[in-house]
Amino acid sequence: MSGAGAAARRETARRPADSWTRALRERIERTVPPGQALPDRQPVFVSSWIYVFGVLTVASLVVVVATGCVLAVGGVAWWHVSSLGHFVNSLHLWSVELFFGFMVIHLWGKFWMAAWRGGRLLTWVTGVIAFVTSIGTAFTGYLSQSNFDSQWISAEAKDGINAIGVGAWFNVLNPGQMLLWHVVLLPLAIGLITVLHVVLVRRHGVVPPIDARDGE
Amino acid sequence: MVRAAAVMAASPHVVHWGWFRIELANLLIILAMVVVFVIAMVVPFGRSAWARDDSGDRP
Repeated sequence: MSGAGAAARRETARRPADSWTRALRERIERTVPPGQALPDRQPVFVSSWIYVFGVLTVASLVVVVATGCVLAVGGVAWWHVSSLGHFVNSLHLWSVELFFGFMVIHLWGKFWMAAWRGGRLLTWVTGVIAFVTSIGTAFTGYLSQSNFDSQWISAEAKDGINAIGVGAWFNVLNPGQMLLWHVVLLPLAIGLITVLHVVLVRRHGVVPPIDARDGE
Repeated sequence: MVRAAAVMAASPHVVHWGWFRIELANLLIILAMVVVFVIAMVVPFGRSAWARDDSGDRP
């Protein structure tokens, strides 16, 4: 019997059975099957371009967040007075355009293959929530341009927002509130939902085509 | 390209089909996305070693 083995048993004996760290660790280990968090193998049917648009969406989101962080350093009016700021703002805008384009094509692909099959309903629902939250984030971004365009959009939007009864808490005529929603609350929500969505994809695996045979 | 973009930004062209109307720029973007979607469905992904590997072991 080795000394290390006896020490490990004594350590196990001292650890309470209901330790929250142990419960959390075991919960994390159960969430994604072993080897599926960052797999290096996929089923043959994944060898199609339509399966690429999910990761393209995530890649675009990374560029959106990175350029948004640079814009935050310069300030909300930086892009009006600096060629570098204008360039970074353009990167931010076009990465958002690509983000939505890739996400919608990803949505079309998953819709036509009924990607909610096989216990993947929550994966589908988190994708829908991420899509809707992204629209809200883009909307607050248009309201944060600090120009006449943002004024026009907010003036046009206020009646619609008030009509659904949330104008008292989400005032599109308040540029400070809209900016903070755009750079703090909504990106945080999208980040959390995206992580949950990807974890669920890794937990349940990529959905097979409808006509795929077992083991294909 | 820049001139074309400037012209489209200055005076938005709107397409009408009866009750349906859409700005030309938005219509072109949607059509481009549909084209990309169709291409993604029909173009082969490529002969990756992983797809050819019958044993299932990726290099």
